[in-house]
Amino acid sequence: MIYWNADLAAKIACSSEDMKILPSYIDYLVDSAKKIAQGVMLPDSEQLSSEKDDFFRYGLLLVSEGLSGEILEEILAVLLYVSKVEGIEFLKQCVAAEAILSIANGEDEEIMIRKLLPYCGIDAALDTVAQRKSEHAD
Amino acid sequence: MLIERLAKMYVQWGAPKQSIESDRRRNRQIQAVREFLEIIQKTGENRKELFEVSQQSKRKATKLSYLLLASDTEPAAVRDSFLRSGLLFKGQQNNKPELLMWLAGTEACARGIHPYIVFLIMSAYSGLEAANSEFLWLRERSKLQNAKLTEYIVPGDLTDNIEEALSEPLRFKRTIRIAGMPLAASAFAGCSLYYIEQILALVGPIGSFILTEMIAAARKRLISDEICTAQQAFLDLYSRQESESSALDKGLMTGMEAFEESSQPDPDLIRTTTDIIMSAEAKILKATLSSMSDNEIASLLRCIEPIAHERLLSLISQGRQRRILTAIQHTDNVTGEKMLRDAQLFAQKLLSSYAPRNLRPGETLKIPELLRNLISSLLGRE
Repeated sequence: MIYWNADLAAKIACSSEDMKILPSYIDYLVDSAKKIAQGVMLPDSEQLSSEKDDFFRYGLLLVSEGLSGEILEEILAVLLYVSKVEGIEFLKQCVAAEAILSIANGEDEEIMIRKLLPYCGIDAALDTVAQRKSEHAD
Repeated sequence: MLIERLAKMYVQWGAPKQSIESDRRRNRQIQAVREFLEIIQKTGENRKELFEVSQQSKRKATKLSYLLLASDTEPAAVRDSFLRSGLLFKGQQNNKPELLMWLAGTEACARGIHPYIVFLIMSAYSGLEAANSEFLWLRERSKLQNAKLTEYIVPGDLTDNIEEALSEPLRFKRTIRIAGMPLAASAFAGCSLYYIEQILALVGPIGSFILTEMIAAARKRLISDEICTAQQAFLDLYSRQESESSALDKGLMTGMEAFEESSQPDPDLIRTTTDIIMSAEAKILKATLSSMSDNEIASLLRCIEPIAHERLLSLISQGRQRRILTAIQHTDNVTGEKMLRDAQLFAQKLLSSYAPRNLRPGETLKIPELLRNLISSLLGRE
């Protein structure tokens, strides 16, 4: 059961216009995860220094130390809890945190996408799934 | 689930109380956490020394943390102590992140979590920027730590296959994360130093130091048989990674797509089986699933709608979910008859889960009528 809280709802709320950038951000995260899984990009500090997304970079640093599961989830949840950003920036941090957990747990692309897309809202998530399916079919 | 954990924090502790943050204040907080790490590492199991430290602490939260650890408080009781002390408030009142940090650190120590990980949890309460700089500080500190292991080999599955396993470092690294450090360390406890060095090079300096200490602790704590069992479990996880990645390499269809395109489903069969899953009690459904093999569940997933997938998958562990998805990928196209048999097998197992062990002759099973009719209809199909 997911509890809900007005403060959290206010912090995470953003306009539908803002939400439009989320699918491309998810593509970027999935692409990074793919590179890590293939060994093209190693989640160590040298290669990560060019990563501009501070939250994602920090999460990958933790993964590179072998952290995963409950502990990693606890650290990421705390970072989100004390995060001072709001709206779409906060939502992006939430999505990045889910992506980091997926990478740490060795989940494949399909599972990762299914976890991240719901953050776009149900309509956008369904559209993206349908689009991906038609691309696969092609 | 991450968002669930975050929401729980908001519900339990309210939004974090914003206070005027001066650099001095932040530095003092960071310094206190570094000191905490050093004291926990130095005192180890020495409760008397911890008690002495608690007496010297001036700040209430820090004092309470040391005191609780000195008195060997159970992890579950730590939170109560913080609440009763008046430092924290339950419910929607806004609490100070600094105080929540001391609670989290004390709880984690009481749970026996490695001090370095406790430090990472605590520094997260200071925000991303501070967490990042503290991570770098900890990494430098790890490089200076002098933890040495001696040679100790326990023959087992992993020691027999370690060379081959290490030839794929990416998969090995992923297995360490999936297994978690305690299991990985128990498994590595029986490996030779030559291989342990190669394993430690796969993680960063912090992870490497934590693993070294955990391996040393596992060697003291575990007997050979237990190390063997851990080796078996680790290798099992490693092999599972292999089957999953090879399935992906072969370009096989993944997840739901696999059964969407490979079967000619009977819509009525799918609707009935879905309704059964949606109507059955979660507890009974869980018991039924635990009596089924991964392949049987994979077959069942072909006979139901996505809404029922969600329900079934939410009742099983993540590890098993992965195995089932792999099983789906390895299954060939199925016929309508096979789907019917799979659905009927599930219905029979569900019925036996509903049956109490001491069911007397003539006594009827306590199954809701709607569900009973659905099961009868499914079992009566040919």
